[in-house]
Amino acid sequence: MGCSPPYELERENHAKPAGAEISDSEPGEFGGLFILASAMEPKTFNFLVPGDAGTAQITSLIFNGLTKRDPMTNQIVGDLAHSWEISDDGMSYTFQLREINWSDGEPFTADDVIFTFEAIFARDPNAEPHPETGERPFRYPSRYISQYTIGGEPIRFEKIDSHTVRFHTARVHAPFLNDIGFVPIMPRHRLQAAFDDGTLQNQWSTRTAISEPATIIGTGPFRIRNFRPAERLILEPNPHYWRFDREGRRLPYLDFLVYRFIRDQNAQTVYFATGQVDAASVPVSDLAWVRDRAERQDFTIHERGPDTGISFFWFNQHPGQREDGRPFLAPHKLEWFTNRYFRRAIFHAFDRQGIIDGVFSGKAQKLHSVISPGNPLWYNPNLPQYEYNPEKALEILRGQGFELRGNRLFDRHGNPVEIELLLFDGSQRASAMATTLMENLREIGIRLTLSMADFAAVLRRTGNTFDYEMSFIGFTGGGDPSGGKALYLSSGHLHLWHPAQETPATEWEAEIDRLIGASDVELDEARRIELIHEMQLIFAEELPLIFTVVPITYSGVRNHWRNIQVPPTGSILWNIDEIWTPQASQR
Amino acid sequence: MTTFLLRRLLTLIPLLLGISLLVFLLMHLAPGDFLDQMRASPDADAETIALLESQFGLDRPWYMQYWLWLTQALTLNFGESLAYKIPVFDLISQRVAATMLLSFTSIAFAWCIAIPLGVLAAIYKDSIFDRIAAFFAYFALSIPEFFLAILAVYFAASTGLLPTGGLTSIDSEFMSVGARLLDMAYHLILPTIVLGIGSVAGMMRILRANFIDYMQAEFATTARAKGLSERIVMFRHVLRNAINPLITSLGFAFSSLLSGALLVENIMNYPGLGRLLFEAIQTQDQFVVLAGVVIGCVMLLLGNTLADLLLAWSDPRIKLESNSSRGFGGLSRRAKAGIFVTGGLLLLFAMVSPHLPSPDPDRVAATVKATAKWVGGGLFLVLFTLVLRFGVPAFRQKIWPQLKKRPLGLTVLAVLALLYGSALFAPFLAPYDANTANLSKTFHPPTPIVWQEGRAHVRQYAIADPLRLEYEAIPDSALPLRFFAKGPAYHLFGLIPMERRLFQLDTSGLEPEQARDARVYLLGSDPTGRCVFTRLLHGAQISLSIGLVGITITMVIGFLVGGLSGYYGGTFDFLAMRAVEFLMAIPGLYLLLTLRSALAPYFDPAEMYIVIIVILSLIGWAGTARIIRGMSLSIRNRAYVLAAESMGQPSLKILAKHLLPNLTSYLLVAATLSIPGYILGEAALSFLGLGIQEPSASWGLMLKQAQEDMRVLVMNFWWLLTPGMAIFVTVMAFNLLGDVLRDIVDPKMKTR
Repeated sequence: MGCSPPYELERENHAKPAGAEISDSEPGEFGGLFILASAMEPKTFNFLVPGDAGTAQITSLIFNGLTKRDPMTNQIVGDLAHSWEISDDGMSYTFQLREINWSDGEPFTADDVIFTFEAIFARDPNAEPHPETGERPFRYPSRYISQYTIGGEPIRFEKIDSHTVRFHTARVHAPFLNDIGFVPIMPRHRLQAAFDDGTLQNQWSTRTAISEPATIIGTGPFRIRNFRPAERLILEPNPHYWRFDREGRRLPYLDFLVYRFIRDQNAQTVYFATGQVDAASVPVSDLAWVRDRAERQDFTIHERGPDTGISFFWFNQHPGQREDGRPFLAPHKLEWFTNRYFRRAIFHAFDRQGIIDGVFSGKAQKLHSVISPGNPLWYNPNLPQYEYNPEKALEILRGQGFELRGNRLFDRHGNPVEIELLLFDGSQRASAMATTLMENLREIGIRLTLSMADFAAVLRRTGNTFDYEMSFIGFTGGGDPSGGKALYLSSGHLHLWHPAQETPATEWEAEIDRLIGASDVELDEARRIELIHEMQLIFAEELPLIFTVVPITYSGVRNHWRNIQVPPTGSILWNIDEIWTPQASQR
Repeated sequence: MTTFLLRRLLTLIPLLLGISLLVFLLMHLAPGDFLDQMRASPDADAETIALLESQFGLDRPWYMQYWLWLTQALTLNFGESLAYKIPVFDLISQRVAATMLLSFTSIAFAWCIAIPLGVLAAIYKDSIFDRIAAFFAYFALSIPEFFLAILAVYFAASTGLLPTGGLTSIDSEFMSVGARLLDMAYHLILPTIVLGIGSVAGMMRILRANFIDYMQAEFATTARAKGLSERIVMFRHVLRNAINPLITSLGFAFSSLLSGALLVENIMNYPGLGRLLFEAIQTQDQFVVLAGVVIGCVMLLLGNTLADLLLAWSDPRIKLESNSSRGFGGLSRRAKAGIFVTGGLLLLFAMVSPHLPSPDPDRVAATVKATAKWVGGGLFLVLFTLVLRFGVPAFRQKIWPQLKKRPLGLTVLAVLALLYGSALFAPFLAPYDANTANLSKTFHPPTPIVWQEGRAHVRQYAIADPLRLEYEAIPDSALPLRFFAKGPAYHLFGLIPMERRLFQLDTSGLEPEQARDARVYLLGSDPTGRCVFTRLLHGAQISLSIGLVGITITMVIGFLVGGLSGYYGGTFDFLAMRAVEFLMAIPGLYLLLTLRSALAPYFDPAEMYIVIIVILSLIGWAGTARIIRGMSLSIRNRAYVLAAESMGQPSLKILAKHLLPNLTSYLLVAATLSIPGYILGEAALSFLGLGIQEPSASWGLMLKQAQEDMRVLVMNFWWLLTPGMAIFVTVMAFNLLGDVLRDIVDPKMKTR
């Protein structure tokens, strides 16, 4: 299945646009059907509708931003912009756009870029103006609005000529070149009418993709050919794509790229292991049996290094009280949790190597920082590490007035140390880690009880009512650390141990705020990295988060695909337009 | 005919109003909303979320949202999906065809298999064939649908004979129409079998029993006497009569398949409505859920109508206008008035509701909890007395003397006694506590017991390959087993503190480090190195008792409502039966899921047990009440009841003194036959991750955890699937026992 398509793509022959880019990869041959499995299907093809990861994965193949990050070199490179200039004050950016065409043959110009940003910041003409500012609310709530609001003001943008645009920011914003690539640029000639009559958000839904896929046009390597919800999405090459190989062939080589929607992660792995999909990430737990089939199914499994996400336990440190005047946390527990030596002792008592061996079959690393080692550009490798040592944990606790009587630990007021861990149900790994921690803490006389709850309930208790003691969460990560502000900043809504503070509660939190603020306006990347390293050091010393482990990730690809370049992180198919197979022409 | 259809449509309106209100209310009882996922992601800021809240209307109180939805719905606009940003109607129409197709094929499959099998089993009654067919029926009836689905996927993946999922091949787009249809048929084989096989068993048994009845009926004898060939008698006369109940069941088959499809669709990756709705319930995409439930109800009603039409066509004696006993058809004038009054009240409520205060979730939770506790406790006490007063004597006088003579019944009873006994003594029988983990021994194979030096010994293993989870026996490491030895302390029955356990490893000769790691795993270990045997025993406590407690509540409510409404008739009867129909009109699994997501967040995981029982009984009492009502209707006109009435006895006393004793045996049978429903319900919920939660153990949860890890299936760790076997054996035992009891109590099968 899946290797011998009984059909071929008829390629249209369009002239090479002036702004074409020549790929430096090995030239290949046309043809081939590449099949992928995805757990999430796209919910929309409209950039103004908040989509999920599944949506983003697909739209990135159909649309382009102005810039992107090259996953091999970790440098920012041009995408729709082929070059740019930064003003001396670091507050305006002038982008030269490629002279290329949309997938329907219309030219791509600065008007499209301006249109895209105008749509993001469009105000709702039907809504009541704000009583104080006199401004109407934004018409299309999306994360882009806050992403492109810098120093409290929306970025300004202007068209210089048909292929030049300029952006102004209210203050220096270091990750600007990174951030400006987030938004996919939309075709003005196709969407202006909908923008004018207010139906922009209703355009390009899954309904469009089902009944009239040809109307969704972009600049990316592929366009939609056929969409069957809950089954598959078939993409075909964009006939006006602007990348070519050295021998003048228009990329991509593939005839078809197929996403099969398979909800269950296990089923995806089975599909890959039985040769029904061409590439997949392979969970550590399935590594052995999938690898056994590598020869028969002719695939290779690549080790990708540590995952970019982080996961951790944390203690509630919220000093506030409920409406009826009772504190969120019993005062003696707040005293433990806000004591960094207490938290350090927990680190020493936590057998993370045991988790690595038992849960991850040895294929994981201890996490020491708030940034994963899977994000090497920003990760600080020289942080203090807290080895598993229950004796040392007890020693630290004794130093803080705790006392072990029999097999129970008591604090200096004589309260037994008992903690309730609030865990959302559903992750076997999280339960395994929690179970280990429970056993580990028993060794030093702390009684940890597990309390499982719904995701929504955990969210409510940790984010609104604060009636919990300890919890666990995992974040997907990677990219620029400015994406983690909600966690790092004391005012952030995901500053989990004490969210949305009006002024930093502690000196070290103030220092983190300051470092993040400084890194935002620091244009020199080396200096920015230093600032982010410093921030990680504070996390590693104050330990508001009890870091767990980072699994090593693995991806498998079938061997007949050429030009596969495995980046340390991110999608293994980042250069999908260059991938080809010699098998296509043999039939 | 037209008036009949029109009447059906009219009854739909208040029903849909009520159901949509209920579902909406339930969804808003649950904390959080559609934007929860976004709130937990670091790159969404509070302002965007607030903006989205107001755009989606989520910042308004629930009744305003419902009111807005309702006014829109009157113009056939059922709202927009929050996730997909397209009208719900469009979204659902993308999926509903696939689900309808699957429902249709599996019903067709069930009929094609069940009718010939049932007829043959009846004609060759008590032959080998009949026995095999009966065994197959019990087998099919007892295997949980989702367990079968897992096995089917595994079969497809390992043999490559059939597709592992989906409805079409990737290249179907490029095929000719004929090839495309063939391709679909090829993909439909497995889901059709999995979904259809459960109903095959039930239908076959009903058909067989009816067929046997009618074979001796007068008209058959007449036909034979007239010299008609046996073949014509069988197929022209007997079959046509015997098939009627199957036609009636068709209507319910439609909606129950819609529910059942949810699990199967999720496991078999089938692109149907079930997957969409499950996701919508989880992400609280409210209008999609509403529309899905509404569609389910409409399908049920259409199914019932279709069944009525078919029945009228197949049996000319039945007139469409007069069948007031079934479904929502043929309502009396008073009934119609009642429906209009209900509808009017609901409308009035909807109009007034914007002025009502919004409920405080915590207070609601406290109220629900307190009510559950008191009602549960009260019901349990009532039932306990009733069982002592009536159940035990009835069993001793009517059932036991006959049961004694039936070896099958006795065997099954023994199996059940063994199962419940081991659940009761679980901590004594198990070598460890349910949550004693050992991360150095995950997915450990079962440890064989060897005989050395005149004692039972258990070999010890060390991990050889952590990735492959291969363990190697350590030479000369076998540890002796000690029986009735001291182990970890526990409380027997939750009361008696004890330390002795049935068996323990003798680790006295080892270093403390080694002693801590030494294990005996009779059935292997799970992903955290916990003993599967131990968890199976502890899981039995939950899985087995849920059936008993659930059936208690159901039976008491069912008896009170059904008995009273049968006895009194009139307005009470009318209201009660409308409530019953209302509950039965909502597709079970969806109601279950929405109820669960509404209640669960307010309960601790330890209390999930209560939540599940409450949910299952809330849904389950309706069917029982209906049956009991029918029975008490027939009893109430007997001479002794009339006599008691004329002597002026109060009605409650009559109910308890005269009705109950006569119904006890029926109740017992009905209860036995309904228990599997609870066990399977718990398993299905837990399997979806919505039931019993860690660290508690239940069979459904264990099965889910076994299925979650692909290694288990691929590397042949079959022993982790033992919970599936345990469910299967228990359900089969209850089904067999129920049938034996029914043969004794009710040879004419009124309980079905």
